[in-house]
Amino acid sequence: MNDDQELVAATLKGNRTAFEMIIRRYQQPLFNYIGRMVGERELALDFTQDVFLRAYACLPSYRPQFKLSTWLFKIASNLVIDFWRKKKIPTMSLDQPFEDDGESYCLQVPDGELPVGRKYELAEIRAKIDRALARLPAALRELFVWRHINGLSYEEMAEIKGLPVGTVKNKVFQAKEMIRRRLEEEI
Amino acid sequence: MSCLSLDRLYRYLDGDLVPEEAAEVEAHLAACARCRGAVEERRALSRAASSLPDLELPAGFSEAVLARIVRAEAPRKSWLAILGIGLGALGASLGTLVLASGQSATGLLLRFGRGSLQSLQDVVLLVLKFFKLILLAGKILPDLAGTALRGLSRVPGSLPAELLAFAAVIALLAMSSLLFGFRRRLFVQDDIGEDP
Repeated sequence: MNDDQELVAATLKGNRTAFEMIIRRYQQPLFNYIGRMVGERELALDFTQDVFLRAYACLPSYRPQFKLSTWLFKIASNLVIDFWRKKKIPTMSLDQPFEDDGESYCLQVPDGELPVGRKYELAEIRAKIDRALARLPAALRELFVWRHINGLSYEEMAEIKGLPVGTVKNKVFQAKEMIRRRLEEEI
Repeated sequence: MSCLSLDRLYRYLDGDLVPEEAAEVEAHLAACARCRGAVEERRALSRAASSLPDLELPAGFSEAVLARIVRAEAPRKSWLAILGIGLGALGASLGTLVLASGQSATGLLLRFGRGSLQSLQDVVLLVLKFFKLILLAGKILPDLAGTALRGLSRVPGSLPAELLAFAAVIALLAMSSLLFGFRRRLFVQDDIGEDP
């Protein structure tokens, strides 16, 4: 019993071990996402638990034509957005242009300087990316985390956010550029 | 070909370009150190981002989630148990009644239902009449009291005691009759709602 749909079907028949397998399969990706979205470890643990509780309660309404992972990330995303709203953290729409949009995004590689990738060790770059990520606008951070940390496809992200694939791609590119620029500023 | 736009650069890195476009970009990169550096830089950052370490989950996380699920389900299950016991008790009582009366369960249920409906109807009628009575009393009593007071103020003090006692008896009788009249009215109305 390895397939997600089989695990869902078994859970709906009252098999709790099947749901435990779902939890074990998705706890790390969801915690990686939520942890980087809310920034507080304890809160992230609570939210990750809440995602599974909500999923368990709503499992009868889950439609098997969607991937279980996409469905779980949608639940998690809604929880995170609720949290931002309660904390009055601005949740800009992905349809709106960001401040850094437009002309400022041109190729920038200073002449005669080594690029970031060659200057630092991988561990150091990772630490810098994590710090830059925390300062990224929340909506862009979400897409960046999904793409690079959770390894979601653009199509999956578009399905979760209900946006065209092209829009999602552009926003991920923007997020990458913003991080790169913040890394340069740090250097 | 001119230098790469950011959109083209990222689409190239994502493998999102058609083969002809990708070949064009590669030809340009072979000739342009600036764009080559830009691509190299972004590729390195993407690799670093995709290899960010997992956040550390505490041991026993899945067990903790399951424990919360069990706790959340417990109150619902206890309510279901209470409901089950209640329904069971009702069923047992009905069974005993059926056995004791020798009638069919359907007949008993129909009689019970009809009786409950009748009782509810009686209660509603009674409440309505009570309010009607209060309204009526509210209209009559001030006039009655005023008339009585005016009448009493005119009774001369010199009247014989026997005559005053007679008048008091007549007044009492009149009040009793009035009350009796109300009661009759009440019960006559009640009769209307009853089954033949």
